[in-house]
Amino acid sequence: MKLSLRTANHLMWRAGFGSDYGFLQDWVGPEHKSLVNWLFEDARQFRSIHTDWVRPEPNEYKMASRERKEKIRQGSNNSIRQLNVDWLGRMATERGALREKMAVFWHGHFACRPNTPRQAQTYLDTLRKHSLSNFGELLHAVSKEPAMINYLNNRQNRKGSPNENFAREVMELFTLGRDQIYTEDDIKEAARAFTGWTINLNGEFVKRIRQHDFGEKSFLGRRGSFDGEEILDIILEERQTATHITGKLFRYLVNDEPDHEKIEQLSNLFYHSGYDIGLLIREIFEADWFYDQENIGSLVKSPIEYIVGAQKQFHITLGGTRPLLFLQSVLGQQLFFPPNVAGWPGGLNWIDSGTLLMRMNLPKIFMAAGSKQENEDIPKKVRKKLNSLEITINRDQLRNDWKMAFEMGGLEEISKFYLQSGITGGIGELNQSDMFKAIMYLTKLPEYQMC
Amino acid sequence: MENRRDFLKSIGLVTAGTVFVPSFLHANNLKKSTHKRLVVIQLSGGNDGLNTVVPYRNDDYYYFRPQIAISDSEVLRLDDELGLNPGMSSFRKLFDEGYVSIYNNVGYPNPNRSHFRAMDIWQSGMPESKEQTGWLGRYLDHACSGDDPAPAIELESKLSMSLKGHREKGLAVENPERFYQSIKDPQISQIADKGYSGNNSDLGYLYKVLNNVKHSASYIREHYKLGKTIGAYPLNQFGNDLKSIARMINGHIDTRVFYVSLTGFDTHAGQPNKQRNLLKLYSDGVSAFVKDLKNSGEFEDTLILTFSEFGRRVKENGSRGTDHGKANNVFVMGGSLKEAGLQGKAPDLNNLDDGDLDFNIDFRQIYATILNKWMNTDHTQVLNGKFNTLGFI
Repeated sequence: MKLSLRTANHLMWRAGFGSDYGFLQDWVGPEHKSLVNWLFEDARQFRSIHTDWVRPEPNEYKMASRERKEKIRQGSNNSIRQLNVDWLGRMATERGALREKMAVFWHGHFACRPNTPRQAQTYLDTLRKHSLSNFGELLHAVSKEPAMINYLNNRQNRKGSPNENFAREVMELFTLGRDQIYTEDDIKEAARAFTGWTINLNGEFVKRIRQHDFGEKSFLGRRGSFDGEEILDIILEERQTATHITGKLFRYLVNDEPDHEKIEQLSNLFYHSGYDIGLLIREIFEADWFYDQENIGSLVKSPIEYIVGAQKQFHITLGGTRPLLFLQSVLGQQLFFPPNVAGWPGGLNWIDSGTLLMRMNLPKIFMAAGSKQENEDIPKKVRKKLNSLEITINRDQLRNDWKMAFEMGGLEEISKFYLQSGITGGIGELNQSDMFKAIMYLTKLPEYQMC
Repeated sequence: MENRRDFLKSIGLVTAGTVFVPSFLHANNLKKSTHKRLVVIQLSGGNDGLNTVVPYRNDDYYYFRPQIAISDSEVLRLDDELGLNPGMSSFRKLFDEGYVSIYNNVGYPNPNRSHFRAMDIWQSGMPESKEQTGWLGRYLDHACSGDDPAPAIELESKLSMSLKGHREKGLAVENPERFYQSIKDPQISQIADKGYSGNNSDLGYLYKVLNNVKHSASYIREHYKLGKTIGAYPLNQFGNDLKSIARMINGHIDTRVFYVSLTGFDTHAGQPNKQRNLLKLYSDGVSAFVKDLKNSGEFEDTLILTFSEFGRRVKENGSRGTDHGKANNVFVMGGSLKEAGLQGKAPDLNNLDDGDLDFNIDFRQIYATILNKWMNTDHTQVLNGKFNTLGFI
């Protein structure tokens, strides 16, 4: 299939966070598979996102005065915030969008709130490193992340006094799905297998033999003196795991309305490939049905997609740690801070009266960069916090894009670029002579919230 | 959660091409509201209940808190066991007039000491689940037809979980005038009127939200402008918020739930002055609010619930503060309480749960009482369980 502006844009939104007009225009004409190849090639390399946080020695922290402890805590929280915006920056300004897009998915899937910069860093590394590779490896790795061990109370999971939190969520949320195959007894038995998985004083994952229950367990119809790894492997042997993960990915990448027949086919492929994530999503992006009318512009942009996407579409760069965190928070999705272990519910849940109005006004705020004009439409408290948002616009590139699009097909073309779902009734009444005003109108349309 | 299709069906968006017409366009209906209303005040950060309602005759209390205990000469005595924080003199007046019920030892099994998780638990009313809706949101799901212009209002820029239901959602209105201004932008206003007639059901939902916001904004503002207040509110955000609520109520708005929060209660250090100032703010604000509602005759139809996500440790820490704890007190106020005053037992400092106060009233009993007896809704439909109701209304 030869790419059009609309289908190229669709692929870029779903495999990444959208793109600028010039980029898309370069891809109009080639086969869609070549852009899929480009996306995978672009995302091939993994580069860690570092924190410069130096963790105090456990004893040093213990002995510190209360004021010093408070200082350490603040420094630690700041480093987590910094990691958040560094990651956001990667999504917006560098290449490898597909890797980041999938890492955000896994962050919502293996949802957890890291407590320390080190927890955040290694957790993020794991999500990003495995985001396109193998689900089994990702599951094993994330299960041993100190952030996860801590978040789901596995430190309290010891022989003789098991804590079932992790064992329950690993099946209910991370693999099989709620009430699928497993029983309460399976949870109890799995919890025993994860006993002793904990964190040492240096904050690293360790297995404490003395806290581990080596006894025989009966799990999903198998018997043996399983340890945690074996439990994960048994779960991966179950087809249901592939079905659950594929269904969730379908809703993230294709359509909120699941197509059970397609999900069945895809999950078959996923299962028999040994859980090859890259293979599965390549299959999706290469399928002709992925570009069907009903799938284009059918998803509500998540706040992260909105923030990153706007930066790409308008050639802007957003900076300032606090305001960027605030922006994520008022829109309802703060990285490293999911509402709970079930992750962000997504879809229409992103939208309420407050978030919708906020979204409608944001492009105006972004575009007003540099001007001291107060934006009266935004609540005062919000405005104050956003005031320190650092906005840099590459006006030349933006102008070039608009000019190119306008010459290609007037405002109609520009609207096609910004609005994936198209406008009902067309752009009929728009004033073609004030292009800036017209574009601001387009981005206020609810259509702009879709991708 | 309901599935997506049910949800869209429930708001009438599943058939392609539906053009919706808001059925509450009768904003000129300025009659007195027919519903009883609930005002929720959330003390964020974990208010130290033990220094709010003080067991001033209890030796253990002074033993555990050598530096921050409130002496019996300072407390505002309520009976011969308990007294209020000295910052709460205006609250005390309300208590004396029989407008306040105080419940101590309110909590739930396996309490959580994280601010976020604990707040989620209080807001969702479902400690054991990963529920993403709030108890008041689910109440709206049951009680509202979808046609009410402003069934619930939170005085915030962002809606908290409390007011999010599966189908219905409260409105985040940081300030009624600004809320109205934000939709007055001619482009946004035009888009809101335009509506949607395509077959993308999610997009249809967005247009519907926007259209509702527009009408709600004018509706709210109209009542806000009409209402009068004379109370002396504290000159800060919390005072302004309560004043705005009083104006809307006195302007006969038909809103069932108002939600407002006061933050800063996370007093790990230097607690005595901080907490006293906050409680004074709270008391003075509530007192002005009650005065305005009494004046207009609305107080009898109003119930005010005050809670915090957790209480604090019984033993003070090393920097004149307290760390996160468990059970806490809850206040219910209103013009038509059946049982006012101190309810149930005083905190028991002899039987602590790992250094924290244990609970003997489940917070969901308070919710259940409000739902059943005040808001006319079967609480089992909202709270996912049956709870014994209490006698305050």
